[in-house]
Amino acid sequence: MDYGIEVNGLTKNYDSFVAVKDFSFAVKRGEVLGLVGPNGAGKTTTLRALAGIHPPTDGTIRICGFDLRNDAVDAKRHLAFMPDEPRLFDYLTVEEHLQFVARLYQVTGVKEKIGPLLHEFELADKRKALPSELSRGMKQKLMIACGFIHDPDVLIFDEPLTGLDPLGIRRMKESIVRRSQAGASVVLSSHLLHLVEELCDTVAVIQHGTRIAYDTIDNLKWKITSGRNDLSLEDAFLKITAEETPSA
Amino acid sequence: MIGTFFTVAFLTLKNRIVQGLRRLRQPRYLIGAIAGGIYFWFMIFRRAAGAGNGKLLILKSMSITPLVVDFASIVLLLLMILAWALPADSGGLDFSETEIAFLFPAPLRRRDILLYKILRAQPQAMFSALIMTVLGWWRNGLFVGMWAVISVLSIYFMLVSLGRARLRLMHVGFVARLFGVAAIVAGLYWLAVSELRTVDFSHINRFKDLQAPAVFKALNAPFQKPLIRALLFIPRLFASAALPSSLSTLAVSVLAVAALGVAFFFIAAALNVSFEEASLSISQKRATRKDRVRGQRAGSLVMFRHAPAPFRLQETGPVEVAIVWKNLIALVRNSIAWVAVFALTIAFLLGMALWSHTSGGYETIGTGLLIMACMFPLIAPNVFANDLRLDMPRLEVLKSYPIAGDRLIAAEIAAPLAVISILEMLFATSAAVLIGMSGTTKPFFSFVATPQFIVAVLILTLPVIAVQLLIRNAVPVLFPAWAGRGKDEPRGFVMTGQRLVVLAGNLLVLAIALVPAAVVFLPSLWIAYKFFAGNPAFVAVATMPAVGVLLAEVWMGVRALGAQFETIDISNESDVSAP
Repeated sequence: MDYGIEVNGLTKNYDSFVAVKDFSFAVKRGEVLGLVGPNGAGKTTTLRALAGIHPPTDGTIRICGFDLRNDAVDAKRHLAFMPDEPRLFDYLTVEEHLQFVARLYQVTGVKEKIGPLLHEFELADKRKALPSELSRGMKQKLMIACGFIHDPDVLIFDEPLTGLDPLGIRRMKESIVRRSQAGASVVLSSHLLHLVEELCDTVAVIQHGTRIAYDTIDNLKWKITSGRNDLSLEDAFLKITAEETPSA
Repeated sequence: MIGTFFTVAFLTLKNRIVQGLRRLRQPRYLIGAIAGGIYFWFMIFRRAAGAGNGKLLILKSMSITPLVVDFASIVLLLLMILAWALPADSGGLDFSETEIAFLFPAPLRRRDILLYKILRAQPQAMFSALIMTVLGWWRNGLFVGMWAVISVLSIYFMLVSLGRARLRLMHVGFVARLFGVAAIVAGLYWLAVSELRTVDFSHINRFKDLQAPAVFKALNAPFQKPLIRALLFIPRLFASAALPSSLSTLAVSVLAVAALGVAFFFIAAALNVSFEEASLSISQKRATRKDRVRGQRAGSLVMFRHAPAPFRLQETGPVEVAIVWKNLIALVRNSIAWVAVFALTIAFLLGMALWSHTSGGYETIGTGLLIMACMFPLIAPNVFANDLRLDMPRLEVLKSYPIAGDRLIAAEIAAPLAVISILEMLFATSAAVLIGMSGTTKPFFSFVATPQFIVAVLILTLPVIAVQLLIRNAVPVLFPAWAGRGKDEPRGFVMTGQRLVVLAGNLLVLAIALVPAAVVFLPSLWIAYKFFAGNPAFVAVATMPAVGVLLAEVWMGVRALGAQFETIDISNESDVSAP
């Protein structure tokens, strides 16, 4: 099986605090995995480890077959990380952001790609604008456009819809689906469970740094709700996390 | 309600102190706190404590207090009157964004919000009073008096701010207020002059051996006039509380000032001015200003947003070029003013030298430029921080890019290195040209006036500047929490201490880095003098070994820093919280 992401025994400690413990999963090409969990569960830590932003304490991560620890640069060439908070360069315009990232990933035919991308994310008239001239949602869109410019094989989204307007949300969802259909492996974390249910093939539920559920959405709902088909992922999620939360 | 406000003010203060103390459990803050504490102890407190037995308390020994109180009263009176002439008439008060978010929609009367503002200001007023007391500016630690004065004056100025807004509602605009205040000040001046005419100062001139107390008494005489006493009655209460001649004066003055504070508060509340919208505007302006100042300090403020990119970035090629391109854009848009300042300084000095048209003028200004050329590599890396230091807030994104740590570090310092080197060459070349024009025959200056000197400067300063930039970029990589990126960054003496430690560490590392180069440079210089004097190879023989050592150090530094960058864990270090 051709996997974009393979995570095996991922553990991340902050001093004595265990943020993620022995977390394993794999995302096939064309698959969308939803990473869900309560606040402070370890989702962002997991995504940052996947993007090579911080080294795991233990475990291995492979991106398109490249070990993120030993072949970091090759692995990173295949991925794009979109953080929840758009962190843009204050002094680069929208277009310059795309040119800069394109050069980092050695993208050819940039001019032809920038136009459609800006159009896709409704930033065409903001081509020469600096980040300070953009709204929060526009910054988020630019961040995502930067992630898409090199057609990555692996897409990692941390709360991708934060700050987007309804049209932006629809376009974003379409973009994610289109790219996964084109063969990209996608991991997204979100508290919007209806979005996860709509976009994702599989879901991993994490709580207190530990994986407490990992399956296709249908299987997960089936298992948790004992075969009732009128319950949503949200119901299933609340049931799982409630079961795992120690009572007072 | 007042109890709630007291609780909020108290808890805010307590939590701030507790948070600061908790931070000290981490070595990086503890070291900063110790260094900052030592610095402030030696710079301020110890000096103030030493001065307590010495000359600073001259006020006490010379019994000058009544006169100081008199003059302080005049200053206060003028301030209290002139405050009515300020143009602002929106009635806006200074609240934080959080306070606006919580208090303005809450079911509170305007009077309650004003009361909150007064109570909230108390910790700061107490701190200011404490500092003034400790510094010994005011006699015998009169903390209570200073506190009362600062607090009540702030209430008065709040009243004036609301009063100006109320006057605007009554169609009394800025110009009318200005005329009113001018008329009052003119009237006071006329009264003061009239009263002073009746005082006889002639005996002060007659007795050359007159004792100081007698002079002070004579100067104090006009202030005893009933009319002047009446005019200065309220300001004198403040001045007496801040500078009391005795404990009983302090007690009476503080009580009177406190009573005035209560009166001012009720008057302010009775004005019932709608200050909410204007306060919101003030809060937003303050936040913008704060961001601007922070941006200016960090070099991240975009000053010339339409400045073009210095060159066109090709689609493919070394990845490092993209980083250099990005940093050159940052330099052009954020720091070009500094380039202009240095270039204009050189141009101005050159112009002055040419205008003087004398050998002495050329030599003096040439020497000045030579000194600047020596200093510039030490100063400039702080001014042109368009490198990793600027990118620290975006570390998360930077770390996800497909570029190895050492290559990223090398690329990050390349842009400031290029700009600083160009400016350094301008300083050195200008110095060489002017000293050459002076026709001096002094041995060292003869060498400065040669092309070899310019070449030597170029090949020696390049690695020195690179070392400097590397050291400065090492700070955010090795001590990210000291790079000051988060809103919860430490302030006060912890921050000062951290800066001192960084500065000292910087100098120490630079000194250590230069030692091997110096050790190699001296024998190679001797060899060059011995065997290559007058030969074009002189400069190369003298400098190349040292340059080689420095370049090797830079290379090792880049490698080591790159490896550290790969392992840096931002979640542990910064405000980018995790999990």
